[in-house]
Amino acid sequence: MTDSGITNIAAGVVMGIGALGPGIGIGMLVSKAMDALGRNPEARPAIQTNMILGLAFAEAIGIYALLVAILIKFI
Amino acid sequence: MKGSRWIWIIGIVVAIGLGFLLFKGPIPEVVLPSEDLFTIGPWAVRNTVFTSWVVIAFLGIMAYLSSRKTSLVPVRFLQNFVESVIEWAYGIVEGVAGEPNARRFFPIVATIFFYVVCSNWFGLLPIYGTIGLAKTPEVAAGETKHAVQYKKVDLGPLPFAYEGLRPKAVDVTAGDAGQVKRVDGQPLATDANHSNYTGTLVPIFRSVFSDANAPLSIALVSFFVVEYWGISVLGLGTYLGKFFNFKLLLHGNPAGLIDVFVGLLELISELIRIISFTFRLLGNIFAGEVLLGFMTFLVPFFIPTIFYGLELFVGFIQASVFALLTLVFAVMAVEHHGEEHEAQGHGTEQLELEPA
Repeated sequence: MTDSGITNIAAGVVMGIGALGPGIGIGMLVSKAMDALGRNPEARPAIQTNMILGLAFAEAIGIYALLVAILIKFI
Repeated sequence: MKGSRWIWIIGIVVAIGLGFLLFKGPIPEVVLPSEDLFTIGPWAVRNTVFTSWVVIAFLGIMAYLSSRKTSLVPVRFLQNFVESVIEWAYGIVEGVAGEPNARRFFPIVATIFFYVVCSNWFGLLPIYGTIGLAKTPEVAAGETKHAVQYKKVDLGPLPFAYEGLRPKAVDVTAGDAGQVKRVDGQPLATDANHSNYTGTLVPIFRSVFSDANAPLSIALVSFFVVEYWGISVLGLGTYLGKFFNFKLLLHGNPAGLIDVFVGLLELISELIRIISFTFRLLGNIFAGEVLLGFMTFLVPFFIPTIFYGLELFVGFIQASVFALLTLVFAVMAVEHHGEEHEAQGHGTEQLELEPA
């Protein structure tokens, strides 16, 4: 197994496993936001803003994994 | 469907196919650290620093032009536009922070937001990444690397390079003495001016936050400013008492150990914020650049437009998240321990990111 072969596999595995957590997290977050929106449509601005704030935190973890994958593959 | 619609659809599909077959360029180079452009004395100016000067000049010129000859009822377009944007931003800040704090927090938070948004959106202009300085690639002896054949123009002392219509990908390798030569044996540069030059391109303009130093600098500013506001409102003793909470322990109560531990955890989480701010912004913007480069490489026509739309959205969201998080942490830093819900405005109830 050559060096570049294993870096390719590593980059793929990093991104694959690293996208699991944020994917599930964002799904749960948005589903709860939809529940809250259905119960109380008048609070839409508050729910929407807090949902986007929470999305940023969850997304950041996925971006860390992407950064590591790019670092492994290209640098 | 009408007949003329079909012609458009077939035309676009044919253009995509032709682009895929004929106009593919070389594989884009992914370079994380930013490259040097020129030196001022001992300081090597990087292309992201140079780009940030351009963005700052743009923001400064906008600010200056929109504040000349102001009138109470704005009649000039620029003053009206800038005032409406600032009012929108101030409404959001006031909704989160409440009246006296909003005036204190607004300048820095809004500056962070506008600087990041302008830098991110400027990064989608076509001049970024396409024109630059020509450089011979650094190749270790015996190693083969990809290079591209550019067109080179010498403007004064600086060698400018730009991609021709069909840039060719060329392999270069290095001899034993370290000199770089092409694998197919042709010389690196043909004639003096407008030469076909094989090398790498150092772009003059590069999206500011795709370099790791820029988001780190803004994250440090955000951290220090939040600490400063906390200390200036609460006083040094009270503010440090949030993190080093020895009161219960000194009175002999063993439950005070938990307080000390929680205080230390809060201190660590304050410091981790710098790291997470940096990597969130860096990851989004840098990965966006790589994505755009590779999408343009795969299908040159029409398809990258979708990803430019994604990048517009992501640039705006990341800027607003950075500014909003700074604001939220600042509000948490200035609140007194007991009165958590009293001093704020209406909390986040009146926040509207888009008009209802």
